[in-house]
Amino acid sequence: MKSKKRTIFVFIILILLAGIAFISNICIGNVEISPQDVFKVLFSRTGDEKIHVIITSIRLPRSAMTFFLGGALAVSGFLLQTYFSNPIAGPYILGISSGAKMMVALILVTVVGKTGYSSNLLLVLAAFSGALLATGFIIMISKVVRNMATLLAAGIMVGYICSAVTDFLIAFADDSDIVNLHSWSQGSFSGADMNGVTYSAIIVGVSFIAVMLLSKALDAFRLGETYAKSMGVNIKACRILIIMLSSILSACVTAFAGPISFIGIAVPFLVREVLKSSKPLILIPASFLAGSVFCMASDLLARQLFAPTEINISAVTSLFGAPIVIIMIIKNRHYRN
Amino acid sequence: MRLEKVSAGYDRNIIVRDVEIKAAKGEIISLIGPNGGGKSTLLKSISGQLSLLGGSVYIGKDDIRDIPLKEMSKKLSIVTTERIAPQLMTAGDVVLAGRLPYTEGFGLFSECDKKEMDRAVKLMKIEALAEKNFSDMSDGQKQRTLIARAICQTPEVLVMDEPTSYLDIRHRMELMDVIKELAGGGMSVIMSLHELELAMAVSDRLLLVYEDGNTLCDTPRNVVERGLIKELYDLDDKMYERVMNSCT
Repeated sequence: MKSKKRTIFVFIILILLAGIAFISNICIGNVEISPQDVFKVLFSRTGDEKIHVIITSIRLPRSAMTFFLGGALAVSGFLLQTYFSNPIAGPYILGISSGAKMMVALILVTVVGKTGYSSNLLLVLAAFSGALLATGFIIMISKVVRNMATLLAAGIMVGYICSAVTDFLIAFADDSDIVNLHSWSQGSFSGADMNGVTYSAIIVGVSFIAVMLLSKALDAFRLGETYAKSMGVNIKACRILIIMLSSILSACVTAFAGPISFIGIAVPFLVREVLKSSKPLILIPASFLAGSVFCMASDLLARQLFAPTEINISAVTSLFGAPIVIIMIIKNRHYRN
Repeated sequence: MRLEKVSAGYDRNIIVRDVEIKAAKGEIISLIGPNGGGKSTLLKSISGQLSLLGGSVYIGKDDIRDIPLKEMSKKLSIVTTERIAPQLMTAGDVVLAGRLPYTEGFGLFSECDKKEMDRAVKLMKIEALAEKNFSDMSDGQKQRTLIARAICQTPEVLVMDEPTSYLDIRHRMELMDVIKELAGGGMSVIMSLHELELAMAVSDRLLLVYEDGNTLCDTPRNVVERGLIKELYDLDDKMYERVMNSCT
């Protein structure tokens, strides 16, 4: 019963934080907007024309995008940690984000650069194929060597290779493309538009529901594959679903905002520690909300810290995420001894 | 549970061949035999962890290959020798996980599931551990928790690979009482045991698994009278005498 109260408390706090972060992201910027004005614009559609434009075409899409994609990253990380039964797995560190980035860069330079044709769907599909490519490679390695550290090393190497290829592509791209490519390949939410928000909301929403439907199987997975199978879980189908969903989620993030580091590892860990539970049914929605909050706060810092210059969001998420991961590694070691 | 001409092994290497047994409702069958003889392999094969290399296993009238996983999980539960390390789960959570086959959709537990958990926890006498973190417990405590989990799954057949490992002498004896109680309630129990004296005392029948992959099934009394243990473990006269003394 104590754990139930804790869960409810944590969820209330997370929802509040998400609300506060969302409003702050809309209010704070080069032009300060008061919360009252935001409500005026959003609900009664009155108020200053200039503020209306800033909110509806810049700040609102960006905040919404950060909300959906931050959550997607955390859930994607959670799925990968389950799959590899390794708490340090995540889309960025395993090179999956970089794989997605490489394919998007390839499509941007070849198709978009040459023909001028571009669509969100095309970019998401490119990112998804890149994510699957990188994930497939990591799975192949994990079958040969069953060692946590080796798996991570392999993932980091895959990440480097994909980033190197991306850099080559950028070097060969036309000047006009490079400007876009460069900021995006570092991770950034600038340039989010409502069309992209709709796309990512649909993709992330559907994937999230699918992950929630998997939560019972993931619950059984906590006792290892043998027991999960004996409790009625179709291991093969479940593993394929986990990989597909985590790839879709991280691909969606990469397609719209570029690779973003550490949210995938740090957030599920923090949420587990705060909830004192690893039950997927509560951990998945909690990770989503916490990922959204983390991402919105990081984006706000990335925009405001050296305003008007914007730094890339991965710089912020690394600054806060990496120490959390270090604490996690030390804590895990302590458990085992 | 009925085994017909079952051959078990890894890949294509048959380790145990042509096993024929019929475990009636409430019957306790213990697998005994030397290390590496294939007791674990056989147990894994009849519980669906390994595919059969020959023959068939039936639960009731159905071949286990035709039973959907979900149905199977209500008919058979396992205790393996594999060590697990679930994160942030209490012993109670681990036991309750045995009810997952009976939940719908999101895997939410009903009051009925919680009652089954309490029953299994009481049976294995782990009430004091229920709130403790599984990874902080001793190997013996973990083992008793995992057995409680398998009981909580309320199967028709309980398959356990060396359930007495890590248990001290008192818990071993208590486990034997629990197994008898479960069998009294109609559950069939098939397990491997290293302690001959326990196997003799608790089992309705013994399945002798020889090093060469052959098997033989008989009552404990007949196994002793026919002097089968000597050959099974390849003992000399002196050792055999000592073993028999400790069993009787």
